[in-house]
Amino acid sequence: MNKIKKLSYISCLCLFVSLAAVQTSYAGDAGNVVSMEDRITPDGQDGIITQTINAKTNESGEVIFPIWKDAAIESIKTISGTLTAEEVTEKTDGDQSYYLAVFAEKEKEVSFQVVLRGEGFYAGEAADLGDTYPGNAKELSFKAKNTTPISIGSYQMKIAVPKGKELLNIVDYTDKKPFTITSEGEYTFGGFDFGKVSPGKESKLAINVFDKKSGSSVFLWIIIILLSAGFMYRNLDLLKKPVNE
Amino acid sequence: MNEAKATLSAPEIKVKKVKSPFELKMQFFGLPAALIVFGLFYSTPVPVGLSYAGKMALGVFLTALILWVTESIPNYTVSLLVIVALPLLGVWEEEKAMGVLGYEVIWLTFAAFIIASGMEKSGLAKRLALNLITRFGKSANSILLLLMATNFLIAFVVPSTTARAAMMFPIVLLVIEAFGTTMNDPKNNLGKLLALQGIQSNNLSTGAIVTATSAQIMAIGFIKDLTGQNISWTYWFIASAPVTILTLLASFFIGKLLFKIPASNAKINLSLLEEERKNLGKMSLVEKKALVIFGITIALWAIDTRQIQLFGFQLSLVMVAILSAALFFMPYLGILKWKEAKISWNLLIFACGAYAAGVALDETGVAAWGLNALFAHLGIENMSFTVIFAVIMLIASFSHFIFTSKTVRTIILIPTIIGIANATGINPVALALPAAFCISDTITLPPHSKVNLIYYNTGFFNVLEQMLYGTLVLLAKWGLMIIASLTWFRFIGLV
Repeated sequence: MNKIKKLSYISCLCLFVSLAAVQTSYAGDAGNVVSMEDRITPDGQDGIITQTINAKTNESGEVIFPIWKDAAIESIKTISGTLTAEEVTEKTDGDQSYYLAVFAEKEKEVSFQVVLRGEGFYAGEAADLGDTYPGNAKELSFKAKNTTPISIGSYQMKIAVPKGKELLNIVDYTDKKPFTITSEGEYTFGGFDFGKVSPGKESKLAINVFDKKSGSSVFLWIIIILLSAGFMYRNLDLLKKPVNE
Repeated sequence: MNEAKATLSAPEIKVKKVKSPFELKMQFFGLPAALIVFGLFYSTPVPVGLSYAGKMALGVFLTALILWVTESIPNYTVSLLVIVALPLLGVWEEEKAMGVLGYEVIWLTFAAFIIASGMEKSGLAKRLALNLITRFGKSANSILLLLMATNFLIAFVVPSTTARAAMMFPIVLLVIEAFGTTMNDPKNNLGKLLALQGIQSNNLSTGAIVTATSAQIMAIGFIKDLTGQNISWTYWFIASAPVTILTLLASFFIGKLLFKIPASNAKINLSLLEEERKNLGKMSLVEKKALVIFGITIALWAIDTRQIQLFGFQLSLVMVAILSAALFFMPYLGILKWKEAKISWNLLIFACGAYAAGVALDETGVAAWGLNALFAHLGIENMSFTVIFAVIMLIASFSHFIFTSKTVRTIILIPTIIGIANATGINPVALALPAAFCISDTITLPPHSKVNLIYYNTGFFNVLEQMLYGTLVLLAKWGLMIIASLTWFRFIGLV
């Protein structure tokens, strides 16, 4: 009985060590994601996520990168380096799932672009702005969790403002967490540099956008002219004589 | 002489400001100009690098600033409109905009009004001033120096420049009378000096004591909020007092050079002041109570961070002020009733709107965006610390020409300076705190503060004389600040 127990312990231990070794092997030798940038642009109600990854392959030419829960890969193309297969494969180790891309280049720097589709991303949600706010404001937010066992050296996310909308603000970011607002091509992007992202860490960026009513400026100028004229008419005496306060 | 006595017996001095034709024109065109600025901000596209919230934060701030400067509509009305405009335009959430009323700076200002009311009611500061002058004022020079010292000392206990001016003004009139100087005397330089140095020593002394005016309290609030660094009452005093004392001495000598005192004014008749002092009689119970409450307040402020070692607790600056206010209202122990407290709610509301507009500018990234544009234009990142320090101190000291309100100046300058420091890799406190020492440099023109207006009412000096004297003294202070940045501020670890 004791022998059986001992054997069971030893086999469990061996299994545990071998599993751990596999995990360690991926964590240590799965290539290195130097930098990663996600640019989200609209396609109808969907969001097209253009992901640019700069990485260093491992000795097998492999690079692993995270899976975004709310987006699916549509295509992949290389910027530098040669992919051995046209598609990436999805790998699962315990509770970690990630994509694996294999390049012909071993232990070399490669760069590639992945296009993903986030269905219904631009439908957004009603912006949480309290009880007083400008009309038709909605929040567009994207969560990116690093599902790989390795850190991402540097991660940036940018969300494009749909045409016809105004970028109201970038949610929860202030001067202490400086955001970026850039104009690239036909879009204005609100973005944030998350820096190094550890395994399992979630990065969230949200922007508020809103429709500015087309006639509101005309209406405002009419009010300005009326108020100014009325104020000046009622205060003409200010130009005539000194007044004691 | 009778006129002087009549002034002394008056319980309050009311200053009625007569607006110049230029100011009236500003008031006339202020509202239309502000509305046009707002309309332009609303209608024009958002500049690259800025959000709509940022653009409108700047629009609301500039619109409010025009209205505050031109006084087309009351400043508290402008502030209330700012609180509504910020969430309505998506600049700041409603909760945050309304939450400004709970900021510590607002509570401090509120408590300061109560403390000032207690001091005014007790008559303690007046007794202190009269005692000092009758005991130590032996000649024209000594009385000028003594009035400076008195202004400096009462700044510890009276946290309002206007209240201090109101206390000192009758005494200055008495001294002028005692020296036998009249307004019609062409050689009335002693009268000029007493009045002008009254302005300068009041405003300049304020810079040494953080609690001497609410704008300075607001400045350390900004420094704390934006840099996370606490500036204690004692640290402010240690850093600023040497520069203030040297500036007061510079003011004394520059004044004597500009306005030479005739030999006939050398002797002094202190009988009027002595009579006034005797009339006060023995210290009343009300004065004693005020003295005890002030003693506790000042002691707690002075030992600030050492409270925990001495008593086992720590009361912040604002909590000490609130405790002091509570003691003034305490039945039997205190001396004030609620109706006797002169709380300027309009000023508190004005401060809320001004603070909200200023903070919203920062939160929406406008300050950083504007500064980046400025840096790109000026190349300030290539300047040495000393040059940046000198430029910023000059702007801080002379900005009162454009922005007469200490509060508005604080709101514009301090966050901007912190932004400059952050962008250039300089410790933000090394620039923002010395700039805060210049907030009360409002000594060049009569409309720049109520203190100036009170003394301007003596009729002993004209606008040009005040501007010349004030400008020279501020240039001297600027020089002293630069020297301090290379010596004293380094020694105490500020820069």
